[in-house]
Amino acid sequence: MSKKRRKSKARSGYRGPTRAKVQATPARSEVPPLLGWLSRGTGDSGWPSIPRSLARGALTVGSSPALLLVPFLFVFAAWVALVTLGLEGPVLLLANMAAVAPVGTFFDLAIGESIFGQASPVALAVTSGLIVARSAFLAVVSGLIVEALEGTPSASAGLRRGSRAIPALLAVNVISFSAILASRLVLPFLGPQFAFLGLILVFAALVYYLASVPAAAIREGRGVLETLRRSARAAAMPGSRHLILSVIYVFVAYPALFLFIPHGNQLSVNPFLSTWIYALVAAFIHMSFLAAFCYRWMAIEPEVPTKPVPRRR
Amino acid sequence: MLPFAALAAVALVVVARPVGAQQAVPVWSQFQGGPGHSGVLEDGPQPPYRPLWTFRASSGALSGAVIMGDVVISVGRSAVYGIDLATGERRWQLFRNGGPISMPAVGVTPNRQVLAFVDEAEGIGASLVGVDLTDMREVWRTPLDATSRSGVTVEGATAFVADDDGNVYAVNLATGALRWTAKAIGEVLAPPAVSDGNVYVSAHDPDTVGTQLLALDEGTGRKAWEFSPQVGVTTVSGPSAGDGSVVAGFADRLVRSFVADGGEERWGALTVSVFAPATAPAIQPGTVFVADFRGGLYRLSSRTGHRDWDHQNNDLVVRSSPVVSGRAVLLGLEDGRLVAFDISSGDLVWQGAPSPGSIGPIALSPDVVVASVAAKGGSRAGLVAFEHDPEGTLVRVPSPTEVDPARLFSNYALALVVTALVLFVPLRLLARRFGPPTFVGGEEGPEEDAE
Repeated sequence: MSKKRRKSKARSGYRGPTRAKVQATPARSEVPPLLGWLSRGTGDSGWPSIPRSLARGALTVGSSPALLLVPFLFVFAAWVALVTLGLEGPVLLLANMAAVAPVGTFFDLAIGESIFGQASPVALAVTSGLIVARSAFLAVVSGLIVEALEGTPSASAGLRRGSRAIPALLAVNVISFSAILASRLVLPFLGPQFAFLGLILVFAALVYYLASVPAAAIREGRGVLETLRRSARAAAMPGSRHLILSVIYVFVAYPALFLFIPHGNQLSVNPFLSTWIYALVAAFIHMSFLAAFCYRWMAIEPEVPTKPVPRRR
Repeated sequence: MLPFAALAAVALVVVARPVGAQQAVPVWSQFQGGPGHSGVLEDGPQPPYRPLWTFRASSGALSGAVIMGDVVISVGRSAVYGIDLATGERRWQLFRNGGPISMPAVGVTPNRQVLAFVDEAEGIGASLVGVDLTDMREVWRTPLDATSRSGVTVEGATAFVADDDGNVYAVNLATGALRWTAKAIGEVLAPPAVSDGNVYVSAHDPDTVGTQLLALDEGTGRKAWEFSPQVGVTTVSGPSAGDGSVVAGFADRLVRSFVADGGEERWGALTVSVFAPATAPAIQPGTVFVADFRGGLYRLSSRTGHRDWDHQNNDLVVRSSPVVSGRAVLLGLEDGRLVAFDISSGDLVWQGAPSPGSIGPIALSPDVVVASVAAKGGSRAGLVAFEHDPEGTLVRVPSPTEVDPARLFSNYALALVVTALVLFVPLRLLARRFGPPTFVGGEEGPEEDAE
């Protein structure tokens, strides 16, 4: 195949699921069903590699002025809004202002309680508002990301397509919120160390199953429930790369980004320049992961089963 | 009582006769200055301050100070010290057997000026000791059932103290006779507060992780009312009482005010953090000042709990309680700074230099020389006295939690430009180099290999 022909084929872009061949159910290895996800090989799936996914995510976000500016402006607008509501810090909250669910959802809850106290109806209302705002923000950014990944970046089209995905993103945040509340009730019985580990596992599981929702909602336009199912089915496809990337994101977003933020523990509403720079780089990292998950969905989209896969015995 | 009398003879030795103690008047008689722990001295010295003297005890850490006339009194591990208020020189010393260091208190009976403090001897246990300050002789010693770290409160002719088992004792200040005992749910780490005919105790049960604010009848010790917050509220600050209400900070970050008569919760005000159990709010008519564990100082309306202002110091407050000295509110921080705030605006107007150890309870004197005395822990434990510095300058630093629009916007804008450029330029070049991704039949396109 000549180089010219290859280029031409490459520009043909994404072939939607109606055109792409939906492959047969991938064969599963002969392992006990509960441990199957641990032992899947990396070669039997269409998931792109993790370095390639992250590189593509960073390139997509970093090379687009809109994809840089929208999260950066969101971080500032969210901070000003929260300060207006009464937030006094700490400034380490800035590190996850643009985080993807469930990490972002976790901080929506924490921020609401920080301002208005635990078990407060006002805190619940504020958390709900934050969740809606985060859902809209992530939907819009996802729209821009998908447009950029499809090679025809159009801000207006991205905004239009992204806004249609808001219900799906809202569902993701609500599921995350419910899981976090349930974890709060159960995990304390495990003790402090195990509770933290348990929370990380809950986060990883939520990312694992729900990470593909934004891209799936934008590209396929199905109903919320079907989009959630599609994302979960994609996660269940053979290969451990998706799980590993999910865990990497949770560790990067939850403990790691907190550890190094300058003056992170300070109660202040006027962050230092270094703190802002760190917060914006953190927003870029979050958006890069979001773009990586969108990219991965687009890479395996035709392979994702349209119906539940019967479990092999 | 015989063994204790014998012990007293060993434990209390006068090193030097007190000077001028005969006519001494309690200035700052106990924790937070009085039985209600109001923490207010209207004619206290004003900032700016300068160091006056430092007193270091050979036995290490010292309790918060009380001031009797021109003598500062503080309890150390193996001695109780009387220190000259003006010079910081030791005027007398009483031997002490040991036990946890806790706040002493002084009171006046018709015949005596009595210093009450807790002593604990190995094999004998803890006891509350009364010393006549006029002749420096131990006049009574009342045994306690368990180790005590609460500190002593004196109201009228009665001393109150509590122990680690939750026992609360009311002791006749003149004779040491036990008037009554009562029981709280667990250990008590701050002195009881006495006001409006009630004795208030903040208690914590480490086993059930429960807390309790207990109100006892001052005359009989019978329970008047109690408040135990929801499960999970694991600590509570010491109580402060006055003007028909009692205030304490709880681990759900709420400062709560209760009506003294009946215990009805009047209001709850949210803060940023929890409260150290050895601290207590300060109460001025119409106003409550409270410091949380993360160093936030809050001025609240005592009627509604409305927050007039707060100042976040971004340093821990573990041992110090706010006190009001005239138009300034003083607070000690964990980094060794004594800081002063304008009572109206909450702006920081003066701060001492950080020093080893942490600032603990503060005592105030209206004396023209001494502004405050701070007990310091750590390796350089002791007392530090400050006086008003007529040549010093005041500063005006608002809380970092007050929006500074110019700083907020300029820092963000600069960060936005720097970050966007640093990310955009190289990634744009790389994106052009690699081109858009391709997705062919579910597989990555061949150009992706270039990555």
